[in-house]
Amino acid sequence: MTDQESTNETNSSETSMIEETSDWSEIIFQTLFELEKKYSKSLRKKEVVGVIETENDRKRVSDAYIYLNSQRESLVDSALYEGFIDMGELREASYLEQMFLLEQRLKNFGQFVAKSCQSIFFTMGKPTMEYSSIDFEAKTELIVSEDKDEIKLFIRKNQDILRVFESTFLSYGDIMNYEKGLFEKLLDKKFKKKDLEDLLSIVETEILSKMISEKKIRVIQQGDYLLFSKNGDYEEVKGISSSVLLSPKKN
Amino acid sequence: MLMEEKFYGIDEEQEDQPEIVKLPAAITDEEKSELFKELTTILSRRWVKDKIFVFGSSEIDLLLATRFDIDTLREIIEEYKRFVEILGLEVVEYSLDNDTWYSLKSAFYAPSELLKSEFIVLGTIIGLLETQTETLSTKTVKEKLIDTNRMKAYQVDLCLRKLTQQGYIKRHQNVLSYNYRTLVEYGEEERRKIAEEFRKI
Repeated sequence: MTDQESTNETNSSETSMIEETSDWSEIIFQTLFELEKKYSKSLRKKEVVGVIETENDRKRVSDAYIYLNSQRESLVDSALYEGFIDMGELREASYLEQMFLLEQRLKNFGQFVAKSCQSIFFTMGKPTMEYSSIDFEAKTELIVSEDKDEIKLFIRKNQDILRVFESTFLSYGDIMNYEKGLFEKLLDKKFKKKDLEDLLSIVETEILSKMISEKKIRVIQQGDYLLFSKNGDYEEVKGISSSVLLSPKKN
Repeated sequence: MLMEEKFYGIDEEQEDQPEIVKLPAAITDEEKSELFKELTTILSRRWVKDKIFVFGSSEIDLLLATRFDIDTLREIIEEYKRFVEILGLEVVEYSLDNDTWYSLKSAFYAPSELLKSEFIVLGTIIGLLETQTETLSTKTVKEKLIDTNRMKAYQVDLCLRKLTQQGYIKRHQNVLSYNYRTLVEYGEEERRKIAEEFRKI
């Protein structure tokens, strides 16, 4: 064997060693990387990895530092060790938590929720400021109940207010007739509120109110006028709903 | 008698309306300080609306009370936000029945009205709503808290009623969802953390 041949052989064995080392280093780095991912994920989710499992993982990478070449690989190695330490702390905290009674854990949870609350700021109590007009005062009259004359006088004075309305019982047919009459009177016509009060009776007004709430007839306010129309698409009218109080003159 | 009012002849009506006050040119510093005092009073009030507590004032009420136009009002509120920040308060906006409401929130600490048991029930609801995708029923909350002998049935019912009244949760046909107050008092991050803590118990 010539010197040249011997040199070639040495070179080839060195190359294969280097290749083998580089393969090994690749595998070690791969393991480090996967374990680092596993621990950071578990820590993020606060999932405890058991002691034996962590110890096995630690043994797998205990000699890794020998094969690490670049700074990037060393950084992954240190991140993994930090993960091991944090996992140890999390495990201890979780063991300690489990030692608490269920009630205590629940109480602690309640405390945590309370601490996380950024409460609305407000003052309690009923309003003490006057917001109605001071000039306005409801007038009340005191009547001694024994004094019959005074009661009679009071009733006579307030006869309009105290008038008793007779209850009207309407059958379904009556209501239908009223509704038909109202359609004929009002549909596609415009009325001023005052005219409407003259036109309608108390019962008719009640029925009209019922028809509007049942959406059988639609009323639109146009300035001073109330326009009655057959029920259509409510979406097409954009505006605000409001109420109109009618005091019919007819009984 | 219910009816719909259509805005006919708005131009004619506008002539009769009082002139809209424009800010900042039309308002002096003195008037502004008066306005800020009034805003503090109104925004720190609690009202009852549809049987639940609401806080502060709606935008539409502020517009009617001040007679500002919308841009001016928002401009004033932005300025007011900077003013109350010094006091450790924040102006929060929340939506209620499609209306914008403004109220004040403590940036650091304000005592809460809720009891510990109510916080537990609220935390459980947050924990469940944040983790599950399907709707949350009252039954699920009760199963979580009563069946494991953690709380009594009447306690949970009482807490749910108070949380509903206080504007933290909405109950519709026994399906629970967040109401405005949970979203105002607990940010996304806080709700996530509560869900994490909930998983532990």
